[in-house]
Amino acid sequence: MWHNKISRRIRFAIAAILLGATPALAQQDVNIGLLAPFSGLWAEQGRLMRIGAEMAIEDINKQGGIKSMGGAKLKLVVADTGATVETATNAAQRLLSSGNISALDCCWLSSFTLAAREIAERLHVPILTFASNDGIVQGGYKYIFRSGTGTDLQVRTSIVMIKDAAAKAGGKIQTGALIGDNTAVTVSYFKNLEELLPKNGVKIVLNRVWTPPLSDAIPVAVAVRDANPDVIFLGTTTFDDSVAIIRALNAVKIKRPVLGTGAQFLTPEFFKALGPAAVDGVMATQGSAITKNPFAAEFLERFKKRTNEGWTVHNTTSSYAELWIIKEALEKAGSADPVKVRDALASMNSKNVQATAFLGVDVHFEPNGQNAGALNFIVQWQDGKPMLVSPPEMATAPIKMK
Amino acid sequence: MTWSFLGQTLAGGILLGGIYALLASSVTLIFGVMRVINFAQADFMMLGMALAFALNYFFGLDPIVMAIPVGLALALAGLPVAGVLERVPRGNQDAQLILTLGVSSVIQSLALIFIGPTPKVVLRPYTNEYFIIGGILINHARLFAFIAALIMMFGLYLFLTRTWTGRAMRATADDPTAAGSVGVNVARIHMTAFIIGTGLDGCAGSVMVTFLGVNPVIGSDFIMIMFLAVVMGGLGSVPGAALGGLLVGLIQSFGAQFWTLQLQNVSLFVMFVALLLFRPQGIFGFRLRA
Repeated sequence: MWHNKISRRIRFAIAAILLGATPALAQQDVNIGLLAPFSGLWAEQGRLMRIGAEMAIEDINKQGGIKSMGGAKLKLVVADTGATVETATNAAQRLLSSGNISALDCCWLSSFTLAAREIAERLHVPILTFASNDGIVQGGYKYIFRSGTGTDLQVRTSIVMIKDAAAKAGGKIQTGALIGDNTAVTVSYFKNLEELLPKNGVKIVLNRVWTPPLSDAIPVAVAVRDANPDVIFLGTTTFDDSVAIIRALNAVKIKRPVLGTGAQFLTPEFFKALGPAAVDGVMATQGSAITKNPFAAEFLERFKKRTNEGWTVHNTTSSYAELWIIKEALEKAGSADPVKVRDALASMNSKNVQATAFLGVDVHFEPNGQNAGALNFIVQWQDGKPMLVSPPEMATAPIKMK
Repeated sequence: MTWSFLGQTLAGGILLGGIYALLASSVTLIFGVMRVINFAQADFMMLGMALAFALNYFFGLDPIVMAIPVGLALALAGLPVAGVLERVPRGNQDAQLILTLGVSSVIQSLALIFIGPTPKVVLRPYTNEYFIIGGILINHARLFAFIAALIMMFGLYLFLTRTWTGRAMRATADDPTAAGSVGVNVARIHMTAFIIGTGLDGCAGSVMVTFLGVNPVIGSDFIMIMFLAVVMGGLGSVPGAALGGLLVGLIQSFGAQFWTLQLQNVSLFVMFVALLLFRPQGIFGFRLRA
């Protein structure tokens, strides 16, 4: 009797395997790389990217994985860029030369992304990024795809937005100051500003660039005060420099609109270091944001529960969106082969809510890898809360001018 | 160029230099007495910052008030390292260097695990406040940290000149064999110098966290500056290290304003090379004769 029961169970198990369980059991995980700074000056940014990527992987796997690949699950393979271009290059080389990465989400800092791009191109692994240096999608590279805007579009739309907001407040923007470090994103940001500000009738009255970290921010703030610009464009990328420069600008009591590029001006740690009064009015450009889309709102609630943090920045939302873009490319390719995934990305036209809720537009890459309709999001600190103030049609609050 | 601009640059350099001076004093104390170049020195400073942050976060204790207790804790933390270093045969500098590099790596890795990569900040009522004197802005936190550093350096000076242990330490630094022959326990003095050094790093870290966020690798921003200050002042000389620290702060500050901000650390190295060309033993160092 007992023997019969066991035999029956074994026979049932064998039948189940033969009748359909085989593909699922045989499917291997699809490895997606996440290369970001998890140590050093930019570690906070990598931490926030990782949360977005992990949430996406969990959601995708919970919803059945890659269906065209028999429900294959995604697995996140994480690597640390460290704090220098050299360490980032080595990390990219190690990660991608393993040969089992189908696509890479990378690297937050433009300098690191530019380095990883060379290796990805050589090893034929597609990269998804929201790093905004213009050069990232220039030079004929085939394996780089950017979900957000480059600094050229950021600068063009930001100038218009600030001039309009100033006009509405009864003021005029005629002079500007550029202050920031010399990492790739700031170099690109300032290059565009130097070209476009004069064309828009804004004279640059101060241009101060340093190699991070900055030993003392007060002399820079004093120079800004003496130059008395109508608007300050901020290009600091490290946490300490970003905090120090805002602290110093407050110390010299300069009340001017401040627009930075990147998430470092919007993180919870940045807010904690300065407090609501010091950050009030500071704006920062973002490649994606929590828009009015209900999916984005629901995502934010899950993020809050998971982290006990009150808000998030484009590191998290862009990584989440990019992992879903990779997922869609895998579905289309029906293969984990990175070359096929790259081809699927290149011909993609995605309306997937998991990406569009944060990017604000459908995902369709131009031949150079730039997401064709990418928007420039601007978030501003208002009464201790980061509010989306641009694009106007998606804004959750109007821009406030000092 | 205005007087207030010059004054601002000078004030910034002095405030920065005061902290560098304290850090450099700890380096030179260990080098002078033990002849050990301790690459983990800035990591002990980071541990001091982390401990001061934790005391503030969990108990609301002020990092500047807690500088001495934090320093004592870091002195204790330095004890096992001092014990291991003392077992390395004297003169085996390769082993000493590798050991301190290893300690640095272990401290950074442990910090990454326990405090995480995110910068931790202490926001005190004085963190974002400034005195304005004749148009010169002086951050309260940096000023308090500077004053605390001066007091600690004065304490170190008194210890080295007015106590038996301090005098024994100086004697050991000058000639360990002779010091041993007159009854100084050289091994114990070595270990004492090491833990005082790590303790000073802890004190410095505690006052620095009031204006700088702590992260596991923040030491890498300071280690070169610490050694630069020590070599400029003269290896093994505590007053030299203090002056070297002050000089480094001033060169950084003036270099940034009068040369270019992008090359603020390059100006430091240019001055360093220039100084060594004319006085290779450093300001307070003495030239060894064959």
